[in-house]
Parts: sequence; C-alpha cells; structure tokens
Amino acid sequence: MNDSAPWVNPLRDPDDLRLPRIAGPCTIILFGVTGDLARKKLLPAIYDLANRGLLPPNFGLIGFGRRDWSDEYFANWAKEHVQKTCRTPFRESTWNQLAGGIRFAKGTFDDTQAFVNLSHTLNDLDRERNTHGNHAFYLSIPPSAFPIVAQQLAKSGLTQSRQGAWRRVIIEKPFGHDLQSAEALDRTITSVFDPDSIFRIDHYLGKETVQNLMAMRFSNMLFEPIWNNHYVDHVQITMAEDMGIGSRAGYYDGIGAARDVIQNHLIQLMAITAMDEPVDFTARNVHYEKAKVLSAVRLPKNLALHTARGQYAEGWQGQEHVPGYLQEEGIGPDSHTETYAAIKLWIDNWRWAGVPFYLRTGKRLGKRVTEIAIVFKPAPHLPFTANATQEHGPNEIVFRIQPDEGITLRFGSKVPGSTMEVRDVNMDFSYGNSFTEASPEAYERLILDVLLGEPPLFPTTEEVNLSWKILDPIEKFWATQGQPEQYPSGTWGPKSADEMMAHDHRAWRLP
Amino acid sequence: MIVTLTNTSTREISSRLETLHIHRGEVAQGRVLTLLIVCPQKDLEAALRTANETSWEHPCRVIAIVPGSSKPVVNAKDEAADAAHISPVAGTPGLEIVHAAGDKPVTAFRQDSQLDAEIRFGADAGASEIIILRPKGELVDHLNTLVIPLIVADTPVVVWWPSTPPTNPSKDPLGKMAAVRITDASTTPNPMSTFRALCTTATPQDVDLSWTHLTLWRAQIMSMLDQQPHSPVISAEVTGQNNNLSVLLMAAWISTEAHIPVTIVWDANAAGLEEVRIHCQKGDFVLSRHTKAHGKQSDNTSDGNSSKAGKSSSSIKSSDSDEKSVCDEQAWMCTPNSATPQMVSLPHRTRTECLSEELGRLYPDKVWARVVKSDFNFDQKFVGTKE
Repeated sequence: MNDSAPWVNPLRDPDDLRLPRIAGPCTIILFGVTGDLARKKLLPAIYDLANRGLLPPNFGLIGFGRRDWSDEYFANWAKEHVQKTCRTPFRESTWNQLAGGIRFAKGTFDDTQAFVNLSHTLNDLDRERNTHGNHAFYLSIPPSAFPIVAQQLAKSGLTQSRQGAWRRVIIEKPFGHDLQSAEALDRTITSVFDPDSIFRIDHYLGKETVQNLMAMRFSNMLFEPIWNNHYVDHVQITMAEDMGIGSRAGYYDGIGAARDVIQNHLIQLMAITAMDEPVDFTARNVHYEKAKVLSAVRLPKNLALHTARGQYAEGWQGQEHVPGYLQEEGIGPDSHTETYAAIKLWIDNWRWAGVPFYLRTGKRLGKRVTEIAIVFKPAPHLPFTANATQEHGPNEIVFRIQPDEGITLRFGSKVPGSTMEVRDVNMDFSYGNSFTEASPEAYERLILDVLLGEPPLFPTTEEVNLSWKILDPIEKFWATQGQPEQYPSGTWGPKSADEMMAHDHRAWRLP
Repeated sequence: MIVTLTNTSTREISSRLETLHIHRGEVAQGRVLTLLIVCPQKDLEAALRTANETSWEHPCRVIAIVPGSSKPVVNAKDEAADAAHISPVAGTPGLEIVHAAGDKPVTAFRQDSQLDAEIRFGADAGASEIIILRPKGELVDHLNTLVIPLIVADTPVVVWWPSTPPTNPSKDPLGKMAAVRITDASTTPNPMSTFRALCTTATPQDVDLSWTHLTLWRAQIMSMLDQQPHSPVISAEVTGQNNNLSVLLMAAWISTEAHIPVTIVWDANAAGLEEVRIHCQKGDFVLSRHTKAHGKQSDNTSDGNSSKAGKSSSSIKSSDSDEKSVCDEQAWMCTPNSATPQMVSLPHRTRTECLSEELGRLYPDKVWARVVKSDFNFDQKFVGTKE
C-alpha cells in the first residue's frame, strides 16, 4: 500500500452489521443557539447521538450568540436543556465526553470581529480536540439573517476548508416565501458554500414512518400493483396541529399555513407517496424521482372551488379556552394570514391521471395528527343488499406519521351474527408494538446524516423550487380574496374546506 | 398476574393464555418473536428479569423451560432410557410398549412424564408474556415438540441459554428451531473451555454474549482507524482482565479482520477489556480505560514504532472526575495526530443491553462465525506470569 492508494480501513467489514455508523471527527457551529429549536431539539439530539455512541470523541460544539456567556456557562445551560428533553437516559460520562468540546462564541451577526474570534475558537478547538478541521454550520436563524451570516463566514475565511476537510451548512425552513425569494436565498448560500454541501432540513423526512413509506412501497409486492389510478380514488394528506401560533407571531404572520407547512412537509410527503420507484436509494436517484413527480403536478383551474383557507377563532380546545388568531399577541385585527389551508392537486402522469391529491394543514384543529391516507375506489359490484353494506365505506391505507406511528388498513368485514352485515374495520400495524426499539428522533437521524455526508433525506434546491412553483399561483390567488374564513378552535377547519370536498362528492377523513 | 398450572398440557396453556388476553381486553398482537430460555431453576428469575427489561424494546412471548430430571424413575438406566425413544426396546424400565390395533409398536407415555407450568402476565412479565414450563420425565427429551404449539405464529424463534449451553447449540432440538442461538459462556463454571467448545460448533446463527459485550468498543475502534493519518496496520495489543472472554475475542477480531499479529496482555486488576492499541506505520491508535485507580501502561516496544507512539501512550491519563462510577464508563482515545487523548463514553454493557442487541438483530452474524472459526489461538490464557 502506498499513500496514493485509497485508504481502506482493515477493520471495516460490510458483513459487520452490528457496528453503527459513527460520525467522523468534526465540529458543529450552532447559530441561533438560544432559540427554541436549538434548546428543544438540536442540543438534545446531539446528546442522544453521543449517548448512542454515534459521535466520535473528537467532536466539538460551538454556540454562537449574543449573550455574554463563558464556555462553562454555556455548557451548563446546554446541559440543563439536554437533561430536560433528551430521549435516552442522561449519563454523566456521555455529557463529560461532549462537555470537553463545548465552546461559546459571543457576537452579533454584523460584528466582523466576532467572526474572526469564532474562527480562532474553531482553530483552537480543532487543535485541542483533533477534529480534523471538519466544520458543520447549523443556521438555526431567520432567513433574513442568512445573507449577512453567509457573508461574514466567507469574509473570515470560515467557508474555506483545508485539504481533506469538509464544510457543510445546514439550513432550516422556510426556504424563501415564494419561488423568487427561494432562488435569491439559494444564490446567497451557494455563493459561499458548494451546492453539494448544503443540507436543507425538512425534519419530516427524518421520521421513521416517512422512511418506512418508501420501505413499504418498494419492498413489498402487496401495495405497488394497486398504487395507481386503476384502484386509488384519491389521496388525503393531513397535518393538523392543536397548538396556536404561540409566540411565533413575528414569524408566522404574513407567512401562513400553506407556506409554513404545505410547501415543504406536505408536498414532500406527496412526492414520496406518488413517486415511481427510484433506481436505488442514493440521493441523486431519489431526488430524480421526486423532482419528476413534482414537475407533473397541475393545479385545478378554479382555485376558488378547489382550495380553502381559514383563521382559527376564539373557542374551546379540549379543556382550554383559547384566543382566536386575530386576538393573538402581535397579530393585527385585519391580518389576512391563513392558519388553515387546503388544496387540491392533480398529478399528470400515467400512474396518477384523474386521482386528486388533497393536502390540508391547520393550527388549533381537533388534535395533533399527521397522516397520509390512500382512499381506494369502491368495489365494482357488491353482491349484498344495500342494507348490508350501509356501514361500508371505501378501503383505505393510512400511514400515521405522528403520533402513534404506524399503518392502518381499513376494509369491510362481516359483523358477527345471523344477518349479513358488512362494516368497516381497522387492521393496525403500530411501530410501538412491533419495534419499540427506541427509534431515533428525526433530528438525530438528520444531524448524523449531515455529519456522515449522506444526503438522500434532504430536499434539493430543485425540489424546493418545484414546490414553490406549485404554491405560488395559489398564494397569488388567495392574496386577492380578502380575509380568510373563521373556524372555531378545536374543530376540523372552515366550512369552505368541507364544501371543497363535497363539491367532489368526497369528504375529509376524521383522523 | 401469575397463573400456576399443575400436571397440565400445552393445549391448556394455550387456551388459558388466549382467555387471559380476551379478559384483559388485549389482543395477542405485536409479539415480534418467541424467546426460549433454557436454564435450571436457580438461574431462572435472574434470566426472566433480564428478559422483562428487554421486552420494552422487543415485546415477545417468553417461554422459559426448566427441565426437571429426565429420569426420576427408580431404576431407569440413563443410556437405556435415552436410546429408548429412538428405537423402543421392550423391557426398558419405565417404558411401556403398547401394541395398537395394527402390529406397529407405539411408545406410550412414561408414567413419570409430567408438565407443570406457570403463566405470567402484566406487571409480572414486563411488556411480554411469560410461560414457564417445568417438564419432568421423558418429556425432557422432547422439548422441541413441547414448545412448538406455544410459539407465536410466523415470527422468529430465539433461544437463549443464560447458563450452561448444550454441547452443540445448532444441533440441539430447541436450537434447531431458532433463527438465533444465544449462549453466555462467561456464566459457566469454566468459561474458557465452554467457549472453546462453542467455537468448534459455531455458525453465523450462534452467538455468545461475550461478543455482544464488544460492540461499542469495536465500533469506536473501527471508526478510530478511519482517522488521519492513514497508514498500514502492523500489529496490535489487547489488554484486559485475566482470562476474560471478551479480551480474547477482541484480539481475535482484530487479528482476523486486519490480518495482523495481536498480543494479549492479561491484567489482573482490569475489569473486562482495558485497552486496545493498534500499531500503524505512522503511529499508535489507542482506546484505553486507564484511570488513576489502576493506570498501568503496557509496554510499547514491539515492532520498533516511532517515539511518537510512546509519547501518546504516556499522555493517556485519567479524568479529573471524582466519581468512580463515571470513570468506569469512560475511555480515552489517542491517535498519532491528537495532542491530548479524547474522552469517549464507553459504559460497561449490561446483560439486558446485550440481549436487547441480539433480539434487535436476527440476521446471521457472519463476522462472529468468521472470527471464532479463524486460526486465532483461543487457547491462550493467563497462566500466572505474563509472556
């Protein structure tokens, strides 16, 4: 073996399936470290990764923020939040492993000196912890701050990697608020980072059930033959939240449910539900199939009939009396922002022509649930009396994404007794029952994938742009329609949403 | 809830189980596998505790088999009784030959055969359900047909011998039914010889928990070698507790996979695996548990390595943490390029964690079979002085 031959780790054996993939030496630089996401999701996910033995000992974590904190203060602060929300048991030794590499860099985004300091901290950490100069920048910050941060990173040389080391940048939604802004954002980031090293997080794609959707579809003979317009009547994709906007008024107002949820999560779920089988599960081929199906999406001509939007009104949600959207702090009484959005889409290809896809999302709905329901056509002929089948609806396959991840199969069955009566029953597969194996949180999986440089679960620029192309005309139409219809909190959305389905002689599922 | 059944049948056990499910409003679904546990009464409760803890991750039906004596009959001769069920011999004590309507002889129940059982449910069984079978008499020789009616339909069978394993697990009547056969040689009176015997019969579907204990170590060591600088591996040293099976297996794994000579350094003070040192052309890669309490450096003279390797070795030191329990969960990683050793959390694995890993992995472990079948010398053991 000589230096030019590619290095082969003699202990790495493809047969050795027990050994987990452990990230290589690296440092994560977390911008927006005091934000909700960092506290509740990112820091605990990093701890859980370490506790599962998936992070190397030479791992560093730098928090960048405005506060006047010391490294120790930051480490203790982080520990407190990790202890509150980590999923694996809190273990002092794991924490010690992480704590040795935790640093805090104080500064604001417009302070050039702060970035120079950050670069020194980073270099020291690289040396002390032997992190090989691999850096992942996690931008958990509002998109309006992207340009300045990107610029500062470039100016201080932080985006330049020395030979053999990698630079990766992780960004969170929203990826713009329309096609134009998404493209501008992309230009900003790609001007300082290589397009292949940009990881857009859509945490839904890190969820086990979403990955299982692909496993189910493409590893079984049972489903794929009926996964088309011969058998499927329509598809409903729902993401319902029981929460209001909370303290996110500043972010949410002017954005709304469609941009916040449909553009990314729901359209991604639709793409995975509808796409053809990829040649393999490399990022390139999965992306290829997703882009193909997204580019075949067509909007209904009459958007007034086939879309709906609403704003939650004051009401009772479960046991709690809650304010309406317009009464939330920081929201003007004339706000036109929708908190509920439902749209109908067509996919113009051989598989799906004639099968509508209904996407809906909303805040302050009946309960927190995300699901994909494939609703089948009725049987061509029912050899029973009409009375016998009055309780019998269409067959359905439901992918429950959250909570209670699993799959439900809904079909008719005879009611025990002396008369022939067919009623719908559910057959359940529940993740919790079959694999209670502590499944990793979506962020754990995604952060690990970034550190390993494995991108199949991250949407590409093209996918982001394609979904804006779908949503932009709808947003444009809605902008001409005045204030959205009010719906009482704790219900399943505005009347217009039910009318939109009734017009097609269908109805929303009660998830 | 515990239901005790004396002088019962497998049919009664099944139907009691079914009734229990119905009365409790549970459906017997979501049992992902059947775990057979074979052990004597004295090891039973500890094994069931482990199984219960594991059940939260792997809800399964546990069937524990506690074989009674197979020959409690006054005058049964062992060999004769054993031979009898293969080729019935008239006149064998305790055995009746019944001539049915035809002239084909039929072996009847030996009178002393009896099945006692216990069903544990709910709080007494974690997330699983437990059936304890206490066969006596000739039944003991037919454990496979005894458990077949009780196995969860269409799911894999795993068999676990928490103490003494059979001579050849893969040829054992229960072992033959299983997708995975788990042994634990370290619990036997003579771990080394039990282990060596298991090595000779090992298949990818067998595994000894001494191997499972190594997973976290192996993962860290494998990924440690991914780090710079890359250079050919020359040899390795594994330090650990005298005659510890995991130490032996670690050495065997490195030797088999990397094709390099591996020396074992026995250390009476160590608790399990203590240190793995891999000599590469450009220096040493070390993962070590050395702490102040028993911080002993191994020699680093072989293979004429650079002084750099020596330096990194001496720089390994214990953490400043006062808590011994925390120290015990830590290890230190040192590579030729690292300025200081880096701490990594490497907790000792419990039996529950190991069993859980085995139940999570039901595919054959080819690497295990390759390692134990390799020409590595498994006969090395601590004989009082170091080599």
